[in-house]
This record gives sequence, structure tokens and C-alpha cells, in this order.
Amino acid sequence: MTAVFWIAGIVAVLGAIGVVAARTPVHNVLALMVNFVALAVLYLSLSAEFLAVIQVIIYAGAILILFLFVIALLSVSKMAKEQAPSRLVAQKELGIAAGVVVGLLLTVSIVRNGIFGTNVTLQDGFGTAATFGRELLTTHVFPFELTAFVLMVAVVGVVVLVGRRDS
Amino acid sequence: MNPGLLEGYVALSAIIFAVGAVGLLIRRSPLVVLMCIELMWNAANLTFIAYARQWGNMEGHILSFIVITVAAAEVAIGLAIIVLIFRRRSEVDVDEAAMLRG
Amino acid sequence: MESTTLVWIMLLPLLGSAIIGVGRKGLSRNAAGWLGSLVVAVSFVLTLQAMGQLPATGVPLRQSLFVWGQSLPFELHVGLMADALTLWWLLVVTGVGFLIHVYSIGYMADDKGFARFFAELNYFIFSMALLVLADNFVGLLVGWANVGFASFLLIGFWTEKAEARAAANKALLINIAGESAMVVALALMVREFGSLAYAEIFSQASGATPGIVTAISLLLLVGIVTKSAQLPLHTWLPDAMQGPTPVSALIHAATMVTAGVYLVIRAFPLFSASPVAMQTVAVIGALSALFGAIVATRQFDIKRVLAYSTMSQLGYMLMGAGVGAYAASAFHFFTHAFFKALLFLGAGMISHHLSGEQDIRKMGGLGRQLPFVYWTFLAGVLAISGAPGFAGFFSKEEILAAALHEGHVGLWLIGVVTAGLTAYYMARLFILIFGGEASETESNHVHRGRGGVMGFPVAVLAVASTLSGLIAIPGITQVPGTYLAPVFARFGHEAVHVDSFGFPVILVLGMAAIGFIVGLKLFGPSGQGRARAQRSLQRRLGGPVANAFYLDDLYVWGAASIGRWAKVGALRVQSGFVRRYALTFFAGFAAFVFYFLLL
Repeated sequence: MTAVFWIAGIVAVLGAIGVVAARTPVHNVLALMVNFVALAVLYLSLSAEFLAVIQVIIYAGAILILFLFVIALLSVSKMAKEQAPSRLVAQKELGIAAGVVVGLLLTVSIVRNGIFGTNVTLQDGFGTAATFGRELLTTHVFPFELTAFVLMVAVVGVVVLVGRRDS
Repeated sequence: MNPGLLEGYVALSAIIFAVGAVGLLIRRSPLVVLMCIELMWNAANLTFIAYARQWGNMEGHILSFIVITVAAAEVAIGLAIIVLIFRRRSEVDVDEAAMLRG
Repeated sequence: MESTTLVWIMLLPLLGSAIIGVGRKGLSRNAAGWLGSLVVAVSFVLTLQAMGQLPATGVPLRQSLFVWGQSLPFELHVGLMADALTLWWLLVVTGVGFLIHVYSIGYMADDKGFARFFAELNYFIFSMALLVLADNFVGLLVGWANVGFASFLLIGFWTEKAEARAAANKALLINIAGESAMVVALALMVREFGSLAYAEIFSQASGATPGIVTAISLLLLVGIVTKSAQLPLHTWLPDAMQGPTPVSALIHAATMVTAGVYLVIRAFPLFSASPVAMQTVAVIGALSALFGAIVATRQFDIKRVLAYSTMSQLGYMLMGAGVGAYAASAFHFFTHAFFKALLFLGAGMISHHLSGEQDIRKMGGLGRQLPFVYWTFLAGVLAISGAPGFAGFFSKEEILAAALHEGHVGLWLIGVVTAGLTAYYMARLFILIFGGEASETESNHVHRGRGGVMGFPVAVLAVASTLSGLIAIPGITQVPGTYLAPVFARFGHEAVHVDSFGFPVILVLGMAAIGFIVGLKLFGPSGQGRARAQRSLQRRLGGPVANAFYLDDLYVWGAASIGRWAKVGALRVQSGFVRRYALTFFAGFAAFVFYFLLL
């Protein structure tokens, strides 16, 4: 278990760094996929099998394909080269500093304060599609309906935004 | 589960979150910025799922599921906006879209 | 005791406002005007009926409406409540309100916004009724904010006038600043008392933490100072005279501006639990009384003189409440409503006669042309100056005597000086308008024939200004004192009252007489005042008094400087670069994490 955590964790972080560092859009997407798959493995190690599957199908499958479509749709030459000097003073240095500070603060507070919660024995079927579905469609049916609404709004929004021909 | 391991999961999530934040702050290509936001969403999801395991409670999974849905919606809208900007300009740089100036 | 009457007192004007407002295109002028007046008249009758229902024991009439805020840590049972104090205020609001509605039918007859005017006026009466009928601080604040909005609408009634729009904005901004302070006071009440209902708060007030009670009272006082145009937040009131004259009479003299006085008296258990707050109320009242009177001596716009005089009289009321003479303060509100409304309505008739002229330097000799206005205005002048026997005499003397009785010699002296100044500037106003030779301003005879509808309210108010003081002759009649006593007795208090004015009354009367005579002499036929005043027509008036001690200019300068500074700062922050915004966001996020998780 511990080995899985370390390997998948390191791969996930490397993938994340790849997303930030890579210069070619397709490489960014591939690095993001590495991160997503590693996260799916971590979910599995946390007994969240349904979500691990969802992670691969929706994130690595659908969302990343969407990114690739957009990259293919727009010519790669149009992507910001980020060669010219930025108009913002010291944004890069400050950005890295902010990220490091946020990461350090969060990590330190986790280590220092510890984690609440008890290590319980899991009930049968924890994290399976069956249990998940039962929870989602009974106790949490209202949020579920709301997400459906959010998705519909998004679809309508996309059609309104992009579907219109500019005159 | 190894009691110390949960802290590891949450710390890992913090690190991924921070990496995503750095990318958001230093990259100028809107596509990459959007991907970095995805990283941060996923970092949050990892926390939910780790805690769900710790408590033996499925509600964290439900919340993650909702986050994934909302993230999908956000990507769709975000990419649509990027496509729109690309239509009007030859090259897209986040700093060029500065019409929110007061 | 439950009473649905209270609901109707409040809702009828709202109903009238809605009908007139929605149907303003279809209703004829007469229908709109008389409907607006009728609903207020019915409210007045219902108020009288409620006064009859009120038990002698002083248990208030109640009408519970609904429960608000069930998700809050406490429940607020919203309802209406009418004790003697509420009815006392309602009597004036609906009574004087009705008279001014009737007057407006004549005054506004040629205005194209006639129906809108009545809709807004009715809306004001509704808001004011809500303010005084509420049985909790939320209802009070809602009414308070609504009268402020009604005042905004009516000051800016002539939307085509830039000055009117600016004045309306100014009034609204200053009043909202006061309301913000009151919201903080309400939050403190929830914290300290766990309730916002009058009954619960007032019964706990004396046992509460003194510091918190003082803070609550002082925060409420900020709202009171803005609403009642007291120092240093009075500057909106003189500008509010840009509204039509009936509005000035009803809202900015007789009723709305007295809401501050009402709140001090209503919340007396809070204020009296904090000596600091009481002292502050009294001192602010006295200083405002003096300030308003001084500034009024050098104003030449008839309505501005009356506006500063209103500020001054409201100062008296707050001073009275601040020394504990609640009943005397409420009594002065009562008489002031009559004579100040009378003076404003008279001023409206004068400026109607002179085609809208309001500068008293261009007036003169109107006594022969307008004998009715002359006599009624004289009644008002004598009443406000405190001539013996007139209404203002009894109420003002009672406040001053109570201040002296409580040992506030300094406040009393300020009050006496103010009384002298009041007599002086009123005499000056009166003689400049009615004395001397008729000026060249052409009189306007278009408005003849509507004299009745405008004259009737003026006549009623003149009679009331003359006689209403008789209900509280010391040692003989004690109507306000005895009527309001149960309000204070419920919470174990007794308003300060005096049985006789004693010898100091001679001093006050002497001061007033001197002021009056000096005013008449200076601006009368033999004095130099009129000639000098007319010479000043050519130039802008200099000097601190004529410019209200430059307070307004100071505020304008201050607000402009802050605005400029804020703009520069905001432009720098609002760079438009999304990544900079994100950086700021993460910096703030880091600060939160640091504060909540690590400290």
C-alpha cells in the first residue's frame, strides 16, 4: 500500500510539473494525462474504485480529448510563445514564490496540526458503483439534479458563445 | 490503512495544488492556464477521497463526483471562450486580454 | 391587546400610494389628490380610534404579523405595537399629513407630476407609520430606511432640476451612512440581548454591560443625528429645501426629521442606562440648537431660514430628551409640527404669489397684499419665538425648565441664548417679508381661486399653533405628561417634569423679547437692516455665519479628496491583468491559511 502511494504520488507530482513546464501544448496535455492516471491509481488505493474509473473515463478520456480537439482546431502557431518579455513586472518570480509559500503553508499545517478522523473499518461495498449510485440517487438526489442543471447551462453557454457566426 | 498515510495523501494534494497554482500564475497561454486549474480541481478531489476513506463515509465521493461534473462544465465554457478569443486575435496571451482595466 | 386597527393605519396609505402610482395615467387630478388625502384622513381617524382603545393601564395595543429569521440563533416575532408614544407620533403624522395633502392639491395643481407626488407622499406616510408602529428594531430600521427613500424621491421630485437631484443624492447618502451605524447597533443588540424586540431589550437594558449599552446608544445616535439633521451631519437638510414646499413642511420639518427624537424617546431604557449617551444626546442637541439659530440669522432664502430653524428646534427636542424630559420633548415635537408646518405652508403661499421667488431680500410689503398669510404667519412666528400663551412657549419653556431642574446650567444657558436668536431671526424674516414697501417682483395671480384648498390647512394649523400649548400649562393641565407616563412607567421610569417654570422663565422671555425687538427695529422701517440686506444681493455672502461655518464646503472638499485618492489607488490595483489578480488572490489565500491553520 505504501509503495503504491509513493510511486503513484511521485508520478502525479511529476505529471503536474510537466503540465506547468512543457512548452508544446500537446506535451502539456500528455503530462496532464499522466497526472490523471496516477491520481486514478491513488483513488484505487483509497478504495474509491468507482471514482477511479470515472477519473479515467471522464478526465483522461473526455476532458483531455476536448483539450486536444481545441489544440487541433486552432493552429499551433497561434499559441502564445511566451518568448517576449512579460508586461507584468516580476510575475514569474512572484508566482513561483506564491506557489511555494502556499504549498509550504498547507503542508506544514497538515504535518503540524495532524489530521482529524479515525481509521474505521470499511463497510462492504465502500466505493463501489452500487453503493455510490444508491447514495447519489437517494440521499443526494437534489445536488445530483443541480449538477445536471449546471451541465445543461454549460452546454447552452457553449452553443451561445461559439455557435454564433461573427458578422 | 496506515494511520500516517492519510497525512501523506493530503500533503500530496497540497503539493499538486501548489504546482497548479504556480502554473496558473506564471504561464501565459490560456490553454495551459486552464489545464493548471484542472490540476487544482484534482488536488481538491484527492483530499475529499482520502477523507472519505478515513471516515468510511461516501459523501466525499459524492462531492468529488460533483466537482468532476462542474470541472467538465468549466472546461467546456473555458475552451469556448478561448476559441472566441482566438477568432479575433492572431495570438493569444492571457496578459493581452486586459480589458478589465479600471 | 390585539388590534387590527394598527395594520390599517399603516396599510391604507400604502394602498393609496399603490392605486395612485399605478393608475396615475388614468386618474384625474382631483381623484388622485383627494384619494391621497382621504386615505390619510382615514388613518387619522383610525389613530383616534386606537387612542380610544388604548387601556388606561398603558398596556400597548399589539398586532403580531409573522416570524422572521427562524434560521437565526433567535426568532424575531415581527409585529406592530402602539403605546401612547406611538399614537402621539401617529396623531401628528396622519393629522398634519392630511392637512398637507389637502394643501398640496392646491399647491401642486399646475405640476405635471401631480399624481406621482401624491403617490410618493402617501408612501411616505406609510413608511413613517411603519417606523413608529414597529415593535422591534428591524421594523423600525425598515421604516427608517423607507422614510429616507421617500424623502429622496420627494427632494428630487423635480427631476429636471440639477440642484434637486444633487440634494436628493446628498440626503440619501448621509442618511444611509447613519443607517449603517444603526445596523451595527442592531448587531450589538443581538449579541448582548439575544433579541431585537423592544420589550425584551428594554427590560434587560439596565442590567446589561455598561460599555455595550453605551456603544449601542452612540451608534443609534449616529443614525439619529443624520435623520434629525443635528451637528455635524445636518448639511443635507438645508439642501433638501429643493423639494416642493409641502414636502419641506411635512417631511423635513414636521415628521420625518423628528424620527430621531422618537428613537431617543422610544429607546429611553437604553439611553438612560448610559449616562455618557444621555449627556452626548443633550450636548449635541443644545449645540445644534445654537448652531441652527446662529446660521439662520444670516440666511436670505425663506426656506433655508426655516430649515436651519428646524435644525435648531430639533436640537431643543434632543436636548430635552437628553436631560430626561421625554414628555417635554415629545410635547415640543407636537407643537413644533404645527407651527413649523404652518410657516412652511405660509412660505409656499408667498412664493406662489411671487411666481416662485424665495429670496426675502426681494420681498416686502406683502402684508397688504396677503392679509390671510400675514396673520397666520404671524401666529407661527409668535409660536416659534415662544410668545407667552402660544404653543411654542409652553413646550420650549418646559424643556428649558427641565434642563435647569436637572442641573444642566450650561445647556440651559445655550437654550436661552438660542431662544433669543430664534426670536431675532423670525422677527427679521417676518418684517422683511411683510413690512416695508412692495418690491418690484410682479405678483402672480394665476393661483387665485384655489385659496380655499390651501387656506383651510393653513387656518387649522394657525389655530393649532396658537392653542395647542394649552394642553400643558404647568400646574393646570398635564396632557402630554400624563398621557405618556405609562410608556415610561412600564420600564420603571418617570420622565422629568416640572410643575412650574419658576422665575427663570422671565429670563427666557426677556431674551426672546430683546431678540424680537432687535429684529423688528433693525429690519423695520427705521432700521438699516433692509437696505443693507438688499445691497448684499449683488455679491455672494461672505463670512462664516452666512456660509454655515463652511462645514458643507469642508465635507465636499474632504469627500472629493478621498475620492481622488481612492481613484488613483483603485486604478493602480485594477490593472486588468488577470494573472496579477490571481497573484493577489493567492497572497490573500496564503494569509488566511497562515492565520487559521498555523497561528
